Amino acid sequence: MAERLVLSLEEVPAVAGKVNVYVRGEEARVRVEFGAVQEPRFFERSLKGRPVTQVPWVMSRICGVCSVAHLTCSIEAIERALGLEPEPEVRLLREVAKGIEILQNNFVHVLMAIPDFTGLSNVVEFSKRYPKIFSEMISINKSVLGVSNRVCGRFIHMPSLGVAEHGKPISGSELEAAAKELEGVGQRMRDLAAELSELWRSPAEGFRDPAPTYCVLDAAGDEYPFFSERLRFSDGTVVEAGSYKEAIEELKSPYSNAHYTLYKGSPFYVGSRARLQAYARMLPPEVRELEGALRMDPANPFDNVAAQYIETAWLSEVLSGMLRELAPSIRKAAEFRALKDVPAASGEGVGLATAPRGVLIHHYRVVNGRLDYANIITPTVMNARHIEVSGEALIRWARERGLHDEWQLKGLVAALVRAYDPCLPCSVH
Amino acid sequence: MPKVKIDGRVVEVEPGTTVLAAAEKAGVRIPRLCVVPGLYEGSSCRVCLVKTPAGRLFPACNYRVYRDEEFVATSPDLWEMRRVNFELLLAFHRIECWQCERKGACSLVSLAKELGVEGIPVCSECPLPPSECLLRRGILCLGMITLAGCEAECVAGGGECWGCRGPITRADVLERAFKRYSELGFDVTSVVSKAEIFWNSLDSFGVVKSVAGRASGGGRG
Repeated sequence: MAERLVLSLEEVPAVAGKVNVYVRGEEARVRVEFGAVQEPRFFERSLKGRPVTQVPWVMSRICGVCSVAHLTCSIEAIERALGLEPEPEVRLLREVAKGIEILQNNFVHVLMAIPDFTGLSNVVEFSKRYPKIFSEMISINKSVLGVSNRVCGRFIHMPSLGVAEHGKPISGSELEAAAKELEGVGQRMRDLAAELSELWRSPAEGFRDPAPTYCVLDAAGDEYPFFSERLRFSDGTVVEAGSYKEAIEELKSPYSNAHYTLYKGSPFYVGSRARLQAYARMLPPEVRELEGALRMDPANPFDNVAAQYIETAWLSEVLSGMLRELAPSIRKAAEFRALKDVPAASGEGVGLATAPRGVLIHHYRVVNGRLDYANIITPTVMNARHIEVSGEALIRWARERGLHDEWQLKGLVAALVRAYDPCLPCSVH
Repeated sequence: MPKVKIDGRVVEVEPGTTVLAAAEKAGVRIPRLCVVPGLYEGSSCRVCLVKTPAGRLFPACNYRVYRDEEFVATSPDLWEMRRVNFELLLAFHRIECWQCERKGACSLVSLAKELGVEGIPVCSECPLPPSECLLRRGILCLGMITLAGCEAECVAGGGECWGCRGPITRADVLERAFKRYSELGFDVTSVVSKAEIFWNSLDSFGVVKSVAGRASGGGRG
């Protein structure tokens, strides 16, 4: 007998892309289906046979929101496959590009999800109720985009990034100016948090994550890992990039165009909430104060949004420090183009990048300078099953507290999905 | 003094003033190419065409006003005629923006954009001088065969052109571009292979492949 459809959310609003969420089953035992309904695009197959230098530029088209994550992760995978080592400045500028994207994506998502935390129905209503806060948030976003344009050419599909190269000529004084701008962003975010603190209310205060395992990139020392050669799970397991398939099981879903993943047979999550827990020791005290201001509970999946805000303030400091470090020694970026002639070699490589929404994996096999095999696992694919089990737990949690109204439950489930900041175009790559 | 009405705006001008000067005074923009006030006013390009309400056509640079008159400077048929006239002139121009030092300071390029005439490559907007062209540095840039209009944003941002605005379809420009690719040591098939990324589903890509086929000695490709 078919399961009873309890709730149906078609095209959850304020997420990147299209996703339908269905809740099926009986009162005591519900099952949530997180179904990506966007069409699959077959990036992995369609690039087979292409020269590898063309691959990152096309891979960045997987997503217009987090294009830099795919671009840089693809570059890392190719460099590992071919044994190329970028210049230290190239690597640092690539990390800055990656960091700016995390910062900007997180911040925009906070803006998209803020109605859930202020009891309002949408961003337009928020902008009318709190015009000062809203315009400050837009202004901060604009500043971040300005830094991105200055350092990397533009924000989407950054043209300056390539295999073992950074093509945009940039001077030390420009880097200093970008560092100053980012410092200002950090300060403005801390000031803004004080105002947000009075409005910020979790839509499900006290709700606990039913599957607390998470995955992040393994950090070397106390440096934020934009890229890494290892994955780290919250149970302490560290996995080398090349062995990711031994830890992460990628499975097909009967109701979604995207895959989902399991770790040791169970769901796990990735993203800002995971990163803040894993890298808590690195947080500077003034950023740590924001956890109190936004009353962040790391065990509550909804608080991924608060984690995104805190990470944004943290990253603005990390990035400004990196730019200041780089400024005195920067050479003209045009000189970095020396490695443009990528050898027509063969090899296999796995790129691991911290994308705004979590861990991103690009795995390539290159034969004679051409792509022979590609496998991509995106953060939303990793989160897919976790969203489902959290949704199931949330419905039980809400009903235990006497919440049975269909519309209220729908709103709560939609807010939960939004809190994970899923990116559906990425998931159906 | 005679009163001139252009696109509904009325101005008083000295007798003998050209319609072009009257239009400027009235704040009406009329495109032009050949006229250089005080130096050349021979009205040979016919890009500055205007018409009377009855539909009689004049070159605005060479028609002088001595009495109250009315002209139309902005209408779809006028723009079409200007475009055709300019296209005929441009057919005689050897478009090789990749070798031209004028770059963005070229009146042909700006007029082609204004009138929507096809055939101008991204190289016309490239911030790099010809001596620093990416192609000379061994980087396969598709700027020579890609339609201008993006202000060469990728090259300005530190990358090369990947052709996202679509291909030029003027065969003579493509022929010269492929000749240049060959001179600089690029294999024609590698150029076409890179162009496939954005153009594979475009009908106009057939023209590029056809010219590339001839350039590589493959006949009518």
